[in-house]
Amino acid sequence: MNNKTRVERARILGWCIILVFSLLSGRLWYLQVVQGQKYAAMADGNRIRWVRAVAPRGRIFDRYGVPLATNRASFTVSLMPGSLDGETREHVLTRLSLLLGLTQEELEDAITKGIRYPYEPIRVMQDVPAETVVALEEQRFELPGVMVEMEEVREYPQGPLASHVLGYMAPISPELLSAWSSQGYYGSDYVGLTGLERLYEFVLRGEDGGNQVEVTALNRPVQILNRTPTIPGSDLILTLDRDLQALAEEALTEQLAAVRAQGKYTDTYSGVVIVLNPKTGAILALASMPGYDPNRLSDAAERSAYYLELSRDKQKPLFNKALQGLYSPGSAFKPVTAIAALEEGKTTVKEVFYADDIGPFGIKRCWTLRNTPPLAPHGNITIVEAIKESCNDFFWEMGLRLGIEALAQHTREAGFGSYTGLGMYPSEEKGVVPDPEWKRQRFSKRPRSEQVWYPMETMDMAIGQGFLLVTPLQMATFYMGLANRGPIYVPHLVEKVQRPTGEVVEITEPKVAREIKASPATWDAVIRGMVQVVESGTGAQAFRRFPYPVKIAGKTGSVQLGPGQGDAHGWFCGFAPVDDPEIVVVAFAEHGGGGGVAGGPIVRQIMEGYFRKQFEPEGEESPNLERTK
Amino acid sequence: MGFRKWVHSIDFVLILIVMALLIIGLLILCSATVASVGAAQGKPYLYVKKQGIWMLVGLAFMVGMCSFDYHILGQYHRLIYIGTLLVLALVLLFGKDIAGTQGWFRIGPVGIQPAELAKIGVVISLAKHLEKKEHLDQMTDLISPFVLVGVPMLLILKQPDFGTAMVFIGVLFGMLFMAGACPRHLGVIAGIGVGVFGLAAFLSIREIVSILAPHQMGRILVFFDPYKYRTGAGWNVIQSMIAIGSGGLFGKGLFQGTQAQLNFLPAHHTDFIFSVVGEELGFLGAFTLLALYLLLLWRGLKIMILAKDDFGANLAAGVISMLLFHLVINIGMTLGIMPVTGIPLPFISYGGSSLLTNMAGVGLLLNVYMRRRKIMFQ
Repeated sequence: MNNKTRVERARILGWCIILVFSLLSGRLWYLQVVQGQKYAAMADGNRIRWVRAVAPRGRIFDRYGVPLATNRASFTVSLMPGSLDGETREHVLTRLSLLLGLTQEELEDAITKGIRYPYEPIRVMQDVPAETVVALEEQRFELPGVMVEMEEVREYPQGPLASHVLGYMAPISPELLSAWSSQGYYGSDYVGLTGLERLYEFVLRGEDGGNQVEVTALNRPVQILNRTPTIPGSDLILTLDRDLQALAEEALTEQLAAVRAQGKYTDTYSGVVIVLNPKTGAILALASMPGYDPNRLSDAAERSAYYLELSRDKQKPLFNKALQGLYSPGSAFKPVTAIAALEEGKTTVKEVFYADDIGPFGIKRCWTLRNTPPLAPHGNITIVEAIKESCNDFFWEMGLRLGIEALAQHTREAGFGSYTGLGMYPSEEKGVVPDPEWKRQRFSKRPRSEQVWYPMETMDMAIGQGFLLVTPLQMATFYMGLANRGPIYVPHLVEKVQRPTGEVVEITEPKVAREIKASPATWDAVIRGMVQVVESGTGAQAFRRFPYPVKIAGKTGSVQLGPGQGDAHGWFCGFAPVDDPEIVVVAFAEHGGGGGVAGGPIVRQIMEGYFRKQFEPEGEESPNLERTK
Repeated sequence: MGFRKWVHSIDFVLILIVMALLIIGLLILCSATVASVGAAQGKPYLYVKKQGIWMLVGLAFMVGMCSFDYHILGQYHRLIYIGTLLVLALVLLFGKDIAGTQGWFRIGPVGIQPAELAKIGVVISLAKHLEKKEHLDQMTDLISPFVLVGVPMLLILKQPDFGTAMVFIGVLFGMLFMAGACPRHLGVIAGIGVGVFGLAAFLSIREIVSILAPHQMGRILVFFDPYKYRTGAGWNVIQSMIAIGSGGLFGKGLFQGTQAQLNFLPAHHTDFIFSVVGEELGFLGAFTLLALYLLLLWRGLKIMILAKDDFGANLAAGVISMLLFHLVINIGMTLGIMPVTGIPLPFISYGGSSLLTNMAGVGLLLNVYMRRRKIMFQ
C-alpha cells in the first residue's frame, strides 16, 4: 500500500473520529446545558427524602372528659423492594404473605402502588397483631428488606357507643385523595369517613411534620437538611353525656326486645333516641340503632367483611336514622296543629267539640273505633283533652278549619321542611312539608286529578300522616320549641374544640335558629294537654309511678303504615321538668306498634336515669352539679 | 542512536496527553471511591492505591513496549496469536466468575482479565497478517482476517463478554479499512452483521429462539426504553443520565456529586466513571476530557501516517481503533445513546487489566513513532 492511500484513509478516519466526538459532545451539551435543570431536579429527588412524621390525631371526649375516640400504638409492616431480586424476592414475598395472611397478588399490588424508589420502604400492612410481629421478628434473617415500624391507629374505647355520632376511619379512597390533594395525604393514610371523624377531619388531623433527609441509594440517612415540627390535631369535647348515651342505647334496644317478646309486634329492631338540652340545643345523647362498632370498621383485617355484613343488614346499621331517616310524625305532630288552630283563631281553649270519631267526610275512623274491640268515641272534648286523648276527629276538624296553606305555614315555622343546622356527615335530611304547590310539582307527570290537593290530605297532615315527612332530629328541635315556649336553638354535638395543651380553639355558643310564635294562653293549653298525656292520657301507662317529683310533658305518636308495610311506627316526644325544662327526649321505634307501647317506656327510662342523678347523687365525684348549672 | 537523537525520536506530546489522562483519572477515581465504595470496605484509599500501583506497572509496560524494535513482534506473531488463544481458553476452563462472566484469573490479590490483554495480541497478529497479505481487493481476501479475529472473539463471547467482543469487531474493521480493504465490501459485511444480530435479538425477545443470554437481552430492551425497566437494568442508564445532566455547565465539584457519592450511580468507579466526570466537573470538565481523547487519537493517526512500514501503520491503526471503540461505546452508554455493554473508559476506569492494555497500546504507538520514516529527519 502506498503512502498516498494511507494518508487519504487516515484523513477519512480522522473525519469519522471528529464526527463521533461531535455527536458525543452534542449529546453532552444537550444533557448538561439544555436539560440540566430537569436532571438537577431529578438528582435532588433521588437524594432528598421527605420522612414524614404523622401528627397525633385529636381525640374525642364526652362533656365530662370521658374518651370516646383515642389513639393506640400499633405495628406497621413495610417492605423495601429494591433490596430484593429473583429468588430472594419470591422467597420473601411467599413467607410474608403467609405471615400476614395476604395473598401474593395483594402483596404485589401494595408494592406496585407504593413504589417510588427501590430503596424506600412501602407500607404493606398496618395495625399488624403483636403475635404476627413476634413471628416476623423470629424470622428476621429470612426476611431481608422487611421492617416493622410503630404507628398510631384510632381506637374507640366505648366500642359501638354513639357510632353514628363518631363515625369511623378508613383508608383514604382514590376520590378523596384527589379531592384533598392539596392537604398532603398519602395513599396509605386513614381518614375519617363518616360522622364527626369526617366533619372534623382537618381539625382532628393536625399538621404533619417531618424531616428532609439526604439519603443514599440504599435509603440510609446521611444528614437532616430541614426539620418541620408536627402540629397535633385538636381534641373535640362533645355535648354528649356518655352515661346518658349508653342509657339511651340500652333503653332503646331493650324496649324493642321487650316489645318483640310480647309477641304482637315482632319486627321492631331499629329506632332512634335523641336527648337534648332545650336551653342550648346541646345534644346529650343521639342513638340510631342498630349501630356498628367503629373499631371493627377501622380494622384492616376485618373491615371489608364487616362492612359487607353491615351493608347487607336489612336494618341498615350504617344509616343514621336520627338525621337521615324520614318518617311520618303521627300524633306526635298534633301540637303543631293545635298551636296553628289556636293562633289562627279557628278554635278557643274553651270550645267544646263533639267528637263522634267518624271523620268529617264520613270515610275516616278514629283509632278508638278501629280498636278491637272498638272503644267508645271521645265525645265532648276541649283542645286540651283532644291532645291528652290524641283524638283524631278533633284534629281532622282543625285541619279543615285551618286549610292546608295555614297548616303548612305553621308546620314550617315549627322547623319542619328545613335543616336544623346540626353539623354532621352525612348531613341531615330536611323532610317534606306538603302543600298544593308541592303536590302539583311532585306529581306533574301524573294525571291532573292526582295533582290536585284534596281536603282529605289536609286531614291526614293535621294528624301527622300523609305526605308529611320529618326526621327524628326535627321532632327533637320542635319539642325544644315547645319546652322553651318558642325559641328553637341550633342543635349541636361539639361543645368545643381544644388543643391538647388545653387551649380552646373554638367554642359553640347557643344560637336561636327560629322561634315558634304563640300566645301564652296557647302555650298553656298545648303544654297542659301534653302534661295530661303523661299523667292520664295515652302516655300514662308508660309513666306510671314515675319515682321523682318531676312534671313531665309529652306526646305519643303512632304511624299507621299502608297494607303490607308492616306494623305501625311508635313515637314518644317529651320534655321535663315542664316549668323549667332541662331535657327534651325523643324516641322512635320502627314498627314498634305505637307510641304508648314502644316510645313511652324508652323516654321514661331515660328521664328516670337523668333525674336519678339529680335526686339521688352518688357522691362527690358525681358530675350532676355541673349539669344543673 | 545518540542521546539527542533518541530524545528527538520520542513523541512527548503523546506522553503528555497520556500522563494528563492518568492524573485526571486518578483524581476522579479518588472522588468516586473514597467516600463510597472505598469507605464501605473500611479502606477509603484502597482503590486509589491499587490503581496508582497499576499505573506504575502500566508505565513500565509502556516503556517496555517501546524499548525494542516492534519488528521483533512481527517475527513472533504466530507465537503471540497462539499464546493469546491459549490464555483465553484457559480462562474459560479455570477462570473466576465475577459479575456473571468467567473472564478472570486471580493471582493472590490481583485479578487479571485476559480478554483485555488479548486485544493487544490480536492487534499484533492481525497487523502482521495484513502486512503479509498481497492484496485485499476481493471479498475472499477478507476471509482470513475475519477468521483470525473471529476465533479469539468467540472465546470471549463464551465468557460471556459482549462488550469486549464488540471492540474486537471495531478493531478488525478499523485495521482492514486502514490496510486498504474496499470500503464497499466492509459496508456490505457490516450491514449483514447488523441484520443477523437484529434478527437474533428479535427472535430472542419474542422468545422464539434463545440466542442471547437473558442479561444481554435485558440490556438491549433497556436501551430502547430505560424508564420501563427503571428499577432493574434501566436504573443504571437513568441514574447515569441524571448524574451527567445534573452536573450542568460547571459541575458540582469533586467529591460533591450526589449521584456518585450517595451510590445512586452504580459502577461509578468502573464502567460509569464518565458519569462522575460529567456530574462533578460539568460540561466543561467532560468536554475537556473528550478533547484530550481527541488529541490522543490525533497523535495516533499522525504516528500511523509516519510509520516506516505497513506493519507499523497497521499496529497504530489497531491501537487507534481499539481506543476509539472503547471511548464511543463507554461514553455513549453513559449518555444513554449506546446499549449498556460494560466496557471500561480507557485510562480512567478502575481496573488493572484494562489500564495495562491501554498503556501497552500507547507503548506500541511510541515504538512505531521512534522507528518512523527517516525522511522526517532530513
